Amino acid sequence: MNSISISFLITKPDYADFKTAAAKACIKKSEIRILRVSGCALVLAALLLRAFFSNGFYQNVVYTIMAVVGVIVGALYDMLVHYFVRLRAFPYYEANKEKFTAQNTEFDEEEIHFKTDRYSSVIPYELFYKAYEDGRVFILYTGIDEMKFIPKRAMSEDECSQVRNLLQTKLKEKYQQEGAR
Amino acid sequence: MPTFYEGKPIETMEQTITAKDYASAYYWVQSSFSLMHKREVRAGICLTLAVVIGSMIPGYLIKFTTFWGPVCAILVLLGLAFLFFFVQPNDIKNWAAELYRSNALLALPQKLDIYRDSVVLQNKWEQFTLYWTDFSGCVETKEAFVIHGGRERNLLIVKKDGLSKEQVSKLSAHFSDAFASHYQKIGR
Repeated sequence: MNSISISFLITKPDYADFKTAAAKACIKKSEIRILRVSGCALVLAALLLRAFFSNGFYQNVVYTIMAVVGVIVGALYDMLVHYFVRLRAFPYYEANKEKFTAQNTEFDEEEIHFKTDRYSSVIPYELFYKAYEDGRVFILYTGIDEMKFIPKRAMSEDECSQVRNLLQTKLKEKYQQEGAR
Repeated sequence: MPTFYEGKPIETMEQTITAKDYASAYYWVQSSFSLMHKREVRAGICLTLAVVIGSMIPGYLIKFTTFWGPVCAILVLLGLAFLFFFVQPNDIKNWAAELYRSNALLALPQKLDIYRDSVVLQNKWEQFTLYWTDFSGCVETKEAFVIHGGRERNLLIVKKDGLSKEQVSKLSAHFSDAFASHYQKIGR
């Protein structure tokens, strides 16, 4: 197999995409399911209470708030989290621009090479904690709180699918994919 | 790996970080963030509030026939003090141990070259240069110097184990100068 080499400079949108993907990756599917069910239950409860136990203005306000909270928890939670994550990512990037230097990542059969002006590593696939892919980035975790990412805009469609196949083959159940194009 | 500073390293050392080292370092860093992050302060505030509420019981009894309200508040505060002092530090250390276990690179033997402006860290798979300006601060504990908030690695632990007293004081003076107000000595 030919190695796949990707060079890029992290831009502000890249960093925001990475933070959004990292936020998505750390939420478990079961947690999302619980949130959806809780949101639906809140909306349903608010409607039932409004229909059968509505006695006055203040009670109606409480039921309306319940329904709004239900909708936020059940349907808009992801969107809100992603919005706030991006909102925080932009000023962080602006304040720490010097930390985002050009880097090169090379995928080989047995390991991944990372190179920046100050960092160089050759990490075998088995040392990775996990990998996550969404529509815009690949995140490679060396630990729960330590990760490296590659924006998909820096690679062609063909390279993207080669990297995906490689990660799927090498990392097996440690590889997660969500919302990938 | 090149650094802008051409001089010799202040110290060169080899070490292996264990889960216990990492957990302890992580805990001290968490404690160093602010006064409110220290377990003694949190527990102390709860105990003080409990004492204040206790001292108000006689006044409370003038208006009310029972004292169960303040007693419940005191019990809750004592429970919180216990939680902050005994339970939470262990939880933080357990979480840190989990972070350590998840990262196979942390357990590898590493070589550190400590320069005036930077540190060069090498292990079997990685080599990187981190400037002191890349970090948020340094905490000196009884066992190690813990430099935190790094770019490639959150915690850089320089163990005192194996260093002579002179080496420790040299490093202590160096980190104190390099980090100025972001340098703290704790847990001593």
